[in-house]
Amino acid sequence: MKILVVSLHRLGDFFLHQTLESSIRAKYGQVEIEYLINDSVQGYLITRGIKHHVFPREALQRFLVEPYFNPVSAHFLLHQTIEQINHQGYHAILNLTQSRAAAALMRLLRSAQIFGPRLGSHDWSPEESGWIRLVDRMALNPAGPSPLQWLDASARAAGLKMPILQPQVFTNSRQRRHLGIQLNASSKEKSFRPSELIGCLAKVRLAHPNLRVSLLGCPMDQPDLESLADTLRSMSLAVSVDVRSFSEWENANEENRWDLILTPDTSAMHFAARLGVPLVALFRGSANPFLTAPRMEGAVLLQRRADTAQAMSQSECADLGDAVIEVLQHEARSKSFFHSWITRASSAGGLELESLDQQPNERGMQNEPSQEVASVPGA
Amino acid sequence: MSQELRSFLLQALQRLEKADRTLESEQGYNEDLEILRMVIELTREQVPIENTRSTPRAAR
Repeated sequence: MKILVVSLHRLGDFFLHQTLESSIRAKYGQVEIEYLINDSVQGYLITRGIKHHVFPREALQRFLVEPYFNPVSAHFLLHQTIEQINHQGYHAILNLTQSRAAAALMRLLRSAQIFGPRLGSHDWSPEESGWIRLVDRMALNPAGPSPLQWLDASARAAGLKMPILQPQVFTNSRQRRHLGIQLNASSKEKSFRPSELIGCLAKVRLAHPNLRVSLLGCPMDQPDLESLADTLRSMSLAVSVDVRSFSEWENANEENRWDLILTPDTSAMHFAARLGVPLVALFRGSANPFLTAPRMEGAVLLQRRADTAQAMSQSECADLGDAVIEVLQHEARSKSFFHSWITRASSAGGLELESLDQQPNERGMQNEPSQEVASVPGA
Repeated sequence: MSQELRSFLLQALQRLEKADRTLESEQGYNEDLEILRMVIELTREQVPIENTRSTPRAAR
């Protein structure tokens, strides 16, 4: 039996979608799972030897912004992809992609049973103002399904259940605990600023002088990370630079694994969740924990109370440092400068965000969820 | 998104929609028309408020 999983978002979404594999195998037994992914994320799948087809999205985007764009060339590119998939003879196609283009693609795929939520009907208004409003309504409508709900609904449509990952308990005998800090996200507004890291790390170092700290990134980040590490060392904040591909993360031995990762909302966050590494994730700018929370129990999610694009103040950085210290001590408390949540598996099997804002007392992270669990908003 | 990029996208959308109307009137509803409509959807998704969700950074 062959199943195609349509995952046409970014790499972080692919990591989320991949967690469904265990559920697919539990239901269907021996099954070949292949993916349809965007051309921008195929590097990881090639490295891991994961079978996939490439949707030429970036190639199409390049066509679209050409001054002499010709619809025929775009048509040709897509026609090839569709024919390629149709010839594979998949028994089932599971659409986990929340977009109208993916819904249109589903209509073009034959010879398989197709699973996934249906998108509402929409018009084809050719006028600029008309289609921008249409997109606006879909993207910002609070009554629409969030990506997390979309995933659950997609899985349910195929009789599957999206798993909630469990954090790993590190029981090795090493003396020094290891904190990984991912600085960069897909946009600058979501990423940590170097000055913020200094303030946060200074606080953490006071509480954990022997903590091993690594700055994480991909190879293209290395010069910036090295420069930042030099600055931190000059301030007696010893850090190392750890530039690894996600494949290398997966294969890291226990000594090189992390006890905690501090990260913005990025693919590294979802990857860390998949590895079961405890997380403190900062959601800023357009990032919203209710939309893209990591699918792991016990992750601490923070969002600034101050609605500003400016760098965090010293007090905010120290508050962030406190959050890191608490998780290292298996605690989670409310924060002065951040809205804070902890992820939990709901009784219905979905992911819920439990607010820590109204709970000033210390909370053990292994406690049973309280009655104050907030559901992910949306339809 | 820059104004220039935006204007190219809008031009591309106009061409696509013109091609869509032409194809529908000449051939009626068929698979080619569906493919063209998917390209139209992709073009609409380029508007930043919807978030194109393509990655601007190299995947590692």
